[in-house]
Formats: sequence, structure tokens, C-alpha cells
Amino acid sequence: MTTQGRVWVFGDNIDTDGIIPARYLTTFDAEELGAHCMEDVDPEFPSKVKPGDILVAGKNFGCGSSREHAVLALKGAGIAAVLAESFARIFFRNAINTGLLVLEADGVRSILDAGDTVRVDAKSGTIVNETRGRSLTAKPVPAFIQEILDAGGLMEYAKKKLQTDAR
Amino acid sequence: MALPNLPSNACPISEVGEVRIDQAFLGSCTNGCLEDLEIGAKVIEGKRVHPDVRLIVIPATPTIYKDAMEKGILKTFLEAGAVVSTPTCGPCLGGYMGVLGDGEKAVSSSNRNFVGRMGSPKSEVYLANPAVVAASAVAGKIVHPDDVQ
Repeated sequence: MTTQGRVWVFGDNIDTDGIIPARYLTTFDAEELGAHCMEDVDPEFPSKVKPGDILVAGKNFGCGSSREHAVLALKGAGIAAVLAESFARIFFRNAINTGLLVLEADGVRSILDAGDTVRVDAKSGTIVNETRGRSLTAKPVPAFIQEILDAGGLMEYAKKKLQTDAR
Repeated sequence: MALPNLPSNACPISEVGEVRIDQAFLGSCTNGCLEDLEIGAKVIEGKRVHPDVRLIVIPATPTIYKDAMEKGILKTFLEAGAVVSTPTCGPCLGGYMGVLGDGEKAVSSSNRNFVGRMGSPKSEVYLANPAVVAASAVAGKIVHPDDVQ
């Protein structure tokens, strides 16, 4: 999986209440959630984010609650991938299970600035700043995780696998 | 104690300073065990919740709710002026009951205090143990349990 997009940069400890505040947890509609994604952290984010944009953050991204809405909100806002120095573990698994590319990339904020264009190759873990020509290698995505992401998440992956096994 | 807005933003209660509160929450799935309720009830027994404070008590499970009722713990809280609610998600994530408004401050025995966690992004949550929550509810500000004895 390779994706290219415009960069948003956030700091450390971006929590799930920041990604999608609890007051919006009355729906599972990704688009509706996306309209409020990150609004308490950056009120302009929901109106300025574009499909295919890539979110870059510091340590412990997605800490806090186990809400899957956090991933749905990011997907609904059009975010194609999250690159962070580290992730909170529940968010990390939720992201994979819901089909959102997440890469643990130490030092990622030192090669990317807001508005830059970044190219991400999940298989090799290569992250290239197309605007400034800097790059680094993140932890690559293992093959079986790649399969889950390619399927669009764990449910779709399981459905596909059951169909294949039944043949 | 954990100061706003990170659970890891910890410090001893002696360093918190003067923090007046609007709400005290004793409960949640994390710290609403029978032992937690017992500790809080012991501190608050025979005292009254400060008139400017809402004390909300939520046992973690229906079993704990029943045990606390049988032990007279809920009665102690009710007589002190607290409200006791059904075990479920609620104030901890600004879901229902005691959703904090702009500028409000709360002390809570739950385990998360990110920006806007219990309501308005302009509110603040201080995390503490049940004894401190109960004592603070009486004092109207964050205090050590020894300060209300």
C-alpha cells in the first residue's frame, strides 16, 4: 500500500477525546464524526482537511478511551494514514481493525512540516517528504497486517478469508 | 493527584494549591469498587456536601451497588447530600449527569482528564483517590482528607 498526501502535524499525547469528543459518540457514521474530528485540538481542522491528507503526530497518539469512533472520525475526515512517533496500543489495533494505515515512525516530526507532501510505502516503511526531499524508514507493516489493511479492516478481512476457506 | 489535562501529570496533593470545585465524582468502572465507596463514605459520614458542589456517586457494577446499599454506604452518601446513580458510563466521559460547563472544575476518582473529557473543553478535571474526592466535596475545594476531620 502506497499513499501520498498533504501533511498535518500535531504534538504528543493526542487523546481520543481530542480526536473525537465524547459529545459526538451518538453516531457510528464516519462522515458525521469526521465533521467534528480534532475540533477541540484545532477548530479549523474539520473544515480544512482534505481527502488523502496524512496526519503526523508525536508520542502516544490515540491515548485515552477505546472508542473506535476515533478511527472512524479520522477516516470520515479523509485522513489516509497516521504517522506517529508512538501510538497508544488500543488505538493502534482499532486503526488496523478498521482499515486505517498507522505507522510507528521515530523522528517523523523532524522530517515533515505542516503542508508538506509526503509519500508513504507501508510495506517497506519508507516515508519520503516530496516537498523537501527528506526521508526516513518507519517500522514496516508486517504482511498479515498489510492483508487486513488491504481488505479494509478486520471484518472485511475475515469475510474474505471465510469465503476463500469455504471454496 | 493528576492535574489537568493528562493522567500522567501527577503531583502530591500538597502542591495542588487552592482549587475550588463545582463537582466531585466518586465512581466509574475503574474506581467505583466497594472498597472505594467505603473509603469515601468513611470520610463523608456525618458531614454535608458543600453547597456549591455536586457530589455524584456511581458504583461500578449492579452487584457493588447492591452491596453498598446493604452496607449502608449509599445511605451515608445520600444523607451527606450526594446523588447516587446507576452503574453505567456517565460523567467520566461527559456522557450524562454532571456534564461540566465552561470554566467548571471537577475532582474525580475516574482515570482520564484530557481536555473536554467530562464536558466543555474549557472545563478542568483533577484526578484523585476516593478519600480526596469525598473530602473535597465537603470542603468545596481540593483538600487532603485530614483537613475535613
